[in-house]
Amino acid sequence: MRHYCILILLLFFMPIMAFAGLEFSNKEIEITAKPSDEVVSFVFPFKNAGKGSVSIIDVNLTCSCLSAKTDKKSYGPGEDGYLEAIFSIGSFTGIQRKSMTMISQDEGKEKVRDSLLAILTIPDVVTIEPELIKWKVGEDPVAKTFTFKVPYVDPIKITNVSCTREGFDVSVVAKKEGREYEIKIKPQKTSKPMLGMIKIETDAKLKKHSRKLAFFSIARKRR
Amino acid sequence: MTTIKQLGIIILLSIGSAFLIYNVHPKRPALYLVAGQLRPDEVTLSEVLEWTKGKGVVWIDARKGEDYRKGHVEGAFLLNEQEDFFALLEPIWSKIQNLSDRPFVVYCGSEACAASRKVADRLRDSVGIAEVYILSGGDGELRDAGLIN
Repeated sequence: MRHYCILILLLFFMPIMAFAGLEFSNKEIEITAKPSDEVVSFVFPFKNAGKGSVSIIDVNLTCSCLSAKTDKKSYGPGEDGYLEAIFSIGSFTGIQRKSMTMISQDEGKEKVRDSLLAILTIPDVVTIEPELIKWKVGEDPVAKTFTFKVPYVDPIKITNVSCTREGFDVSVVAKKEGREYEIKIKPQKTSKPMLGMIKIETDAKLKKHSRKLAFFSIARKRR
Repeated sequence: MTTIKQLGIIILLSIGSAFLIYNVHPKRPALYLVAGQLRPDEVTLSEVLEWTKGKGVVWIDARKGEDYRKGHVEGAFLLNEQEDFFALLEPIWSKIQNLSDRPFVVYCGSEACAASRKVADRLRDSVGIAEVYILSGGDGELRDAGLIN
């Protein structure tokens, strides 16, 4: 019976012993970005619940889209602080889950690693399906279609579409003005491999959506 | 005491079975990264240098813009995830689209850098580049070879 008690006490106190020092009120933060956001800040508050001062050794990030820093390098007993992680949205879309590990050390103790998670939902303003249209070399040069949709609250109209390659016929059909368009592309021939881009200009007020890109290729058949 | 003995037996049995499986399994993974056990789309610098003797390669730098501006492989294009990938791609597209018959080699800042893989996937799946490879060893290999100052 005595062994059971020791085992239970050990199981109960080991995590407390391991994590004495900084205590996070929330290790997982979920944010929905605004369509205009270029960067989003995640703030993870913590408190030094230990009896000695705690130093921040490092913050390991799993994505180059993140940068992170604490408000101070060292925290006295009872002191509050925070880790701020900045997420650069760049061309990310959808739900992004990015983890990071903050490494801290109590005076004279082992290093402690706290895993933190930033979950960012980036709303779709414009979607283009598919992202890439392909023909094989020698395939019938049939027209294929990109579908441009606007799930965003404000409508966005296509103002111009251009192609970076000659020898392709491109046309735009508005299925529902400001909401859905079909962009048809037809090669005049598919005799040699080629890569190209469609530039879609819009009247979107958000700069990053004022021009969208879609791609096409004529690829060699796999041997 | 019985509990501790039982725990010990369970742990020993687990270690024993793990050891046995590791030694007999035909597809066991390597315990550490060694040359020759690269993923299918990873290449070593020596392979890439061989390719440069032929029609050449297209270097893609997937590091942060500030690292790229400090120094990069001669002729490398900057394409990364933390800036707008397509905004970076558009101004260099006229060159890229005419080099698409060459292998593209993506490098980033470390051995375990995930940025290279993300950029490589985008080049393959969204842009349509046929041959995209990831440089094993990241920019450290390039510095050692004197290709980045």
